[in-house]
Amino acid sequence: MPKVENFKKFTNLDNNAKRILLKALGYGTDSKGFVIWADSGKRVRCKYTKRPVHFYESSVLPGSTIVINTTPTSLSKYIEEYLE
Amino acid sequence: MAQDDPDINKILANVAVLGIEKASSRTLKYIQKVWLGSTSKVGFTPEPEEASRMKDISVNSTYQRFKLIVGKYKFTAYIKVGLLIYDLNQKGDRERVQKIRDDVYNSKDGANALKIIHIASTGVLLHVLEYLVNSKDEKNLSQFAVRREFEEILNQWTRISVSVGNQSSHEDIITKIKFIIKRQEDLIIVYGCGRAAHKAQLIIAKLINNKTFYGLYLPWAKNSMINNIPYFVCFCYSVDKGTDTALAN
Repeated sequence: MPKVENFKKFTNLDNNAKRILLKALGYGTDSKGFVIWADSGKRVRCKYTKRPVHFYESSVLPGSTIVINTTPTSLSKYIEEYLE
Repeated sequence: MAQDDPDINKILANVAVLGIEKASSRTLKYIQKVWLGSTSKVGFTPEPEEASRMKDISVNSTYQRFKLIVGKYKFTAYIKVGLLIYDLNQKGDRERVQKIRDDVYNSKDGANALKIIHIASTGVLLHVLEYLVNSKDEKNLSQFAVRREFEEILNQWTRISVSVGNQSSHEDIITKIKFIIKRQEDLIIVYGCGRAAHKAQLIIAKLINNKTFYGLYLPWAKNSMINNIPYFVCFCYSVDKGTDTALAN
């Protein structure tokens, strides 16, 4: 997985691009906007927060298919797991 | 981005123009392949400034030394969040601070994580880590003992800490410290920031000169500047504990 050395240089995707990427990686969204597994329809749970991931708060870890909630806590855990 | 990488942004933008429903499975497979093979830093992080700040904290030397001692530890992630909240408080971004606090409260380590956030909001969290790193070196503490001491500081913070404010009188602060001594607490933490940093330092000097701590506590003090604000913190640990940790017994 590529390491993010500088988050300020992180390229944000707009919502349309984000939806397409999620679809390409096997995800969709349900009627309430939560990210779901396309094959089962079950809500995806963030590996760090253990909570369902809402589309607007979701991030895909670079070069992976892992979707997480984007909160300071989950980002802090991501930094710890991959960058420290 | 590596020079030969297909540009995932352009690919996604082109597909977005056509519409997601028109994307064929072949196109989606190609997108997945490019994404997984990409060496670029593309993704979506709504708050890149905050992520960037926490990345900066992760290379802070005190944080790194503490992390080296405690190893993989459930609270280190919240230390970074706490220091981020301190920065946001300094900028006066109360709304964002409350949102992050709510998020932390709802996390699986909620109660203890909030204690870390509370200490971080006083501006002395890094000093606490530095004290623990120093204790580890001086007393040759184990990883387990340092973790326990950190957790005891979290749990007992309101009992053993004295915040020196601009409005508080020397007498009031000294009374509070003497009250903690009377309770025979194993650790006393006195701190002040801004103009109160100097006041806190004077109070500790006065108590040392009066031999208030003599035979009871050993002081470990630190002056520092954080974001151009002076800080003074003094940890007074019980001499009875010898080479043990002050609290984790």
